[in-house]
This record gives sequence, C-alpha cells and structure tokens, in this order.
Amino acid sequence: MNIVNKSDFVASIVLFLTGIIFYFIIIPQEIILEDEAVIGPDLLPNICIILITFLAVLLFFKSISREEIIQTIDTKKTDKSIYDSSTILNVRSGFNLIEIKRVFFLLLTILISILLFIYLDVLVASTFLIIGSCIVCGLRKIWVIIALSTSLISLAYFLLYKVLGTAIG
Amino acid sequence: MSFEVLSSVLTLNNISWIAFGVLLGYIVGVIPGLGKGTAVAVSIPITFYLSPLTGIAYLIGIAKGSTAGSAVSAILLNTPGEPSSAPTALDGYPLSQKGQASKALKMGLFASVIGDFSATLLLIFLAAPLAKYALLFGPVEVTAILLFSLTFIAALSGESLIKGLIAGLFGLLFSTVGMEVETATVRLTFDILELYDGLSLIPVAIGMLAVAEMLVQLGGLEALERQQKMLKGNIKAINQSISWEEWKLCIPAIIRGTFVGSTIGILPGLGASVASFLSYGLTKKAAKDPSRFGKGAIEGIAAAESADNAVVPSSLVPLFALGIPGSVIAAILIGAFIIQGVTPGPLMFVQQPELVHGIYLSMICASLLLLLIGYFGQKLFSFVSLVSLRVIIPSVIFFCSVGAYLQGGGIVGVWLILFFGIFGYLAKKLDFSFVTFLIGFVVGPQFELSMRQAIAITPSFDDLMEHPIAIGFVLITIIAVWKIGIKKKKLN
Repeated sequence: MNIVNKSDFVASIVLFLTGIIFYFIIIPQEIILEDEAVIGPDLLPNICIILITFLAVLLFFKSISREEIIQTIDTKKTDKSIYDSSTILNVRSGFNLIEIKRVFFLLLTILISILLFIYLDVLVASTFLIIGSCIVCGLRKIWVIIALSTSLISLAYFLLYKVLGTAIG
Repeated sequence: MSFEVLSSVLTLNNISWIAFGVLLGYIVGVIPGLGKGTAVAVSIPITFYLSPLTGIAYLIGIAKGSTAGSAVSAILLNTPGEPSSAPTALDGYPLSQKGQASKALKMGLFASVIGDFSATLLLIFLAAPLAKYALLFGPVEVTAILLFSLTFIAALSGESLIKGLIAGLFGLLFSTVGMEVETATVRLTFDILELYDGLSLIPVAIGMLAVAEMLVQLGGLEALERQQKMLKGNIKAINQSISWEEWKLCIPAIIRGTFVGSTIGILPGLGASVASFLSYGLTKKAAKDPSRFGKGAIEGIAAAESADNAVVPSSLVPLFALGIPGSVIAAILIGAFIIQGVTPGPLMFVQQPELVHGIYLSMICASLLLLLIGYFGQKLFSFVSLVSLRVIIPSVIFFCSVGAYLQGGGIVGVWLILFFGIFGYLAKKLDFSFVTFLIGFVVGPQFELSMRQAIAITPSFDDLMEHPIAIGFVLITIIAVWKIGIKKKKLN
C-alpha cells in the first residue's frame, strides 16, 4: 500500500471509526425512538453519519492512490507561487513540534482555568488563564504580564458590569 | 425610507456603536492572524445588550472595518491580516519598501471604501426583489435550495470536495444536538442539561473561528516578529498624496474589482480570497505593462482591496433574500439576528421592513465612517501592526472565554469553545473547510424542518414532479458538483 497523503490517510481512518461508533453505539443510545413518530428523530443524524463514513472510505482510497501524488506536488507548487512572500499564510500548512507543544499547553491552561472557575473563583480562574496563556506564548517580562492581566480583567469588569450590566461568577 | 428609520439610525448611540465597530474591526484587521470572523464571533455576546438595529449594525461595522484594516499589515509587514489581502501584499509591500507606504495605504483605503459602498448599494437594490420570489417557495423548494447551497459551498471551499462535504455533514450533525421539535426527543446530549436546547452558535463559532485561529497562530510567532522588527522605525510620517495619473490607472481596477467582488460575494461559498485574487489577476491581464505587477503597481492594490471589500455587503444578499448564509460572516450574523428575535430571510422584508431599512442605512453610515476612521487613523493603525501576537493571543483567549460564558449557557460554553477550538484547529490544519462546517451548523435546523415537511407533503415521486423549482435546484446541485469535481481533477 502506497500512502501518499499521511494526514488524509489518518483522518479517513479516524472518521471511519467515528462513523461506525456513532452509527452503532452513540446514536442508538442517545436518541430514544418513539413509536408514534412518522419520521424518526434519528433520520438526519443517521443520514449525516452514513454519508461521513462513506466519504471517509473515499478519502482513504484517495489518500493511497497514485493520483494524489501528482496533486500534492502541484498544490505545493501553486501554494508557493502565490503565498511564498507572505508569512501568515505559510504557518497554516503542516504541524511542527514547537507549535504542538504550545497548542497542548494553551489547551491545558484553558482546561485548568475552567476547573479553577468551578472549584475556586472567577478572579483566580481569569488571572490563571491570562498569565498561563502569556507564559505559553513566550512572554517573560513580569511587568507586561501583570499589566496585561490587570488591564484585561478591569476592562472585562468595566464593560460587562458597568456598561452592559451583566453578571459573571 | 421613512423618517422613523432615519431617526432610529441617526442617533448618537447607534452611530457611536457603528463607529466603535468599524474602529475595532480596523484594529483587528490590522493585527495579523485576527480575522473578521474572530472579531464578529467574539463580539456577538455584546449585541445581546443592544437593540436589534444597533447590535447588527455594530457587527457589520466590525466586518467592514476588519476587511479594510487587513490591507495595512499586508502593505507594511508583507503579512496579510486576512488571506483575502494576500494579493494586496504583492504590490503593497514593494511600494512600502520604496518609501511609498502612505500612498499604498491610502489607495487601499479608498478602493476598500468604494468597493464596500457600491456593494452595499447592490445589496439594497437586489435583496428586496429576490426576497419577493423567495416568499413563493415552500418546504420542498427550501430543502432543495439549502441542499444546493451546502453542496456548492462544500465543493468550492478548500481543495478537496470530499473534505468539504464531510465538514458540511459534521455541521449538520452537530446542529441536531438537543430537543427535536416534532417529537420532543432529546438527541445526542449525553445527559448534559445545558445541551437540551441545542448547541448555541456563539461558543461553536468562537471555538471554530477565534480559538482555533489562535492555536494556528501559535506556530508562527517567530516569523511574524521578524517581519515586525524589520518594520520598526520604518513607519514614516510623510503625507504622500495620490496623483491624478495614478487615479487614472486605479479607477478601472476599482470598477473591475467592485464588479468581481460583488458577483462572487452573492454566490455562496466562494469568499473574499477568490474575489481579490481574481480581480488582481484580471487587472494584471488588462494592464499595458503587466511586468510592473509584483513590483509596486498601485492599481494592484486597488483591484485587490475593492474586490475584497465588495464581498462583505454582497454576501448578505442570499442571507437577506433567502435566509441562506453564503459566508462565515453571514452565518455568524444569523446568530446575532436570532438573539435579537429576528429570523433573517424573505419574511423580514414583510414583518420588519423598518429594521431592514435601518440596517441598510447603518451600512452606508459604516462605509462613510470607514473612510473617516481609516484616513485619520492611518498612522495609529500602522503602529497597531507592531503589537506582538504574544500579547494578543492571551487577550483573545480571555475574551473568548468571557463571551462563551455569557452566551453559551455558563461554564458549558467555555467547555464548548475548548472542544470546538480543538475541532477547528484540526479542521484548519487538515484542510477540512470550517466555513462549510459553520454554514451546515447554522442551516441545520431549518434544513431538517423543511426536509421533514417536504417528505410529509411529497410522499411519492409523482408529488415531487409538482415542484419544478426544487427539481431544478437538485439538478443544478448534481451538475455543479460534477462540473466542479471534474475541474478540480483537471487543475490537479
């Protein structure tokens, strides 16, 4: 088997398995059918999941076919000619280790701040979220981090409590 | 337009919010990596506390400002604020290197305002007549039109038709979470009480657009900072004006760009990037000396920016006339409309004509404010482009969490932005169109309802033959997918 597009190959397998799990386990468990319904409430979810599974199979075969080799090469050529000189568009393609590390730690920061919100307090959670994100992004100047946390929390307080009159916490 | 509409739009409160929206949009547009989708999604919770007209006008102001603002970083940093400004960088950055950044920025702004204003007029003249026809459509026709739009968008967004369709189907699938209207059956909620009303668009949009975009940008921090270092100390205070000779070169490019942008904006799914690249390409083709392009041809900026900005108002034509979102902004605006108790679509013209006229007038005000804010804030915005993403990312993540908490059912909203942030990040990285996903998610409930009604009233194939418009749309869908599929294959 000649895998020419690794990301599509992995994505197709994940999608196929997701489709199978949804069709045989999640949808039957999560949608309880009533006898009197003319058109079942599971109709659209089932249609969606069947089509996703079918398309995942197509994607799988596309990712291992020879045709994709030519396509991948050509796409890379076109991308280069159009976007070569711009920075922001180039970072979209592909994964790199630093990025994955940062993404992981940022998501972890959000997760911990949610838990802090639930078990402690909104202020602690907000402060942790901002400081944690700053550290993940590589900000090391303490005064910048403190100024940013203070100003963002004050701004949110002013906008939400004073201007819009909402309640948080 | 009645006096009541004028008096409701031209209030200090309304104009202030539009101006704030344009200013915020401009600043967001200038910062690379923060697009109009991010800005509008994060701002939706605020609109809950505003009147329908002010809230929607504020969001449209953000979209307009952001589209125009993205040219600033493209010209100064060679780093477009949004992908649709990439062709602006091709000639804007060389002009900036020649010390003519001010001139390039001015032309970018003027072309943006002209494109935006003309497309707003097109929306005003086109949406109402189209809506009249749309009112004649029943559930069968609506199902066929929604099917056509979704498939068309899936086929055109991204490089792969298969991936586009998968993204759209996931959008539809997630839209089924919550209580089903006909049988009151609870679906796919995993016993989470907050999901019984379905997934709210706001945390989904914030997660897919803003959080996912911030995650993507984490990989490009160093590259952007290198560009910013090069720009530091290079922002000159010279007030360069555009000569008549340069205007003569740019006017045809602006007219062409406005036409291309307006046409592409009306078609669902094509988006601003296609419009700006196409307009740039056509202008280069029509030029006497195409070799100047890419080296600082000012008409290149005019062509790209006019087309880019014409897309925002014209993409609202299918939303206003048919209730179908043709772009991410239109999809998010549906959320804002619903928060305000308004259902966008043809009935809006019958039930709330004052609101529609008010939005039109507000859009014209936004165009004028865009010119004023962009012109007088040019130098300030140049400095904004130097703000580090290391400061911006924590700020955006913080406001995303606050917004999701406010409008996403409390802490569940924050969980949802985390989930959809990861989902959107993977979708962006693996080229699964998040645009198609969001549009599928937004039109999902309407699609399911009209599909159920259509099945009920057309139980047999003979009954379906009584709906020629629906059959026509189904045929167009098949032909469009087939043709686009073949074209993509040939291109590859």
